[in-house]
Amino acid sequence: MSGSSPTAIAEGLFQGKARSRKIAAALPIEEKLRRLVAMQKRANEIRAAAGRPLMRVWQLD
Amino acid sequence: MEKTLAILNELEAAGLVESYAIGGAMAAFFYAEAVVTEDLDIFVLIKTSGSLISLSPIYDFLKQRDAIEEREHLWLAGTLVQLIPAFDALTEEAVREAVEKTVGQTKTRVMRVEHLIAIALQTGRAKDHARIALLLETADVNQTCLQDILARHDLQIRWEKTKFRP
Repeated sequence: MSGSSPTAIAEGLFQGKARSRKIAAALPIEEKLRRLVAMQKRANEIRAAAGRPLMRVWQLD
Repeated sequence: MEKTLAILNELEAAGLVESYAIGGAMAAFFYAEAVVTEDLDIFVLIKTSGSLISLSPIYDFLKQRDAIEEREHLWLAGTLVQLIPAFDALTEEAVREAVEKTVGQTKTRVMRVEHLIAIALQTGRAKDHARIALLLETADVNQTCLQDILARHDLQIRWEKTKFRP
């Protein structure tokens, strides 16, 4: 198995992330709203663990 | 969120606001990836006969539709909404020139991406700068339009200082 430099590996990973973000940006708004609510809930798990005030979570239709 | 938007459309149809547009983080959802936010910023153009305005008739209308006031926000059909009167020439223009979008089956109006960038630049918090970077990276920004908005609203120097690049 041939090796790669850390820089090349990191560059490949960053390019992959950039592609993923483009795909995420192109999702339908309805899917983005579902992701938002999931993020609000996840953020609250961290906030609760850190003793910070909770974020208010939306209820989708 | 469709029910929330339907009620806002009713608000506009009832003539209590001249028009409204989604701004802030939620507006950016229409152009870039989803990021966590707590509230839906709704900018409203209110008909006035003088320089003073009141949000009370709007709040009363929304409370009749089961909105619940919570400090500076309203819970409206499951969504935490902040109503913001268009407060200067830039936000007024952003509401007037907002574009129609659809969420599910419900039509709504969303600020153009170039106005979102200009307003974020004007507001200037760290999270606003992060939003600008995100929009420049992923959204289809019309640079000519953006530069025109920045010039008309005296934001070009600030733009140059922050060194944002598409």
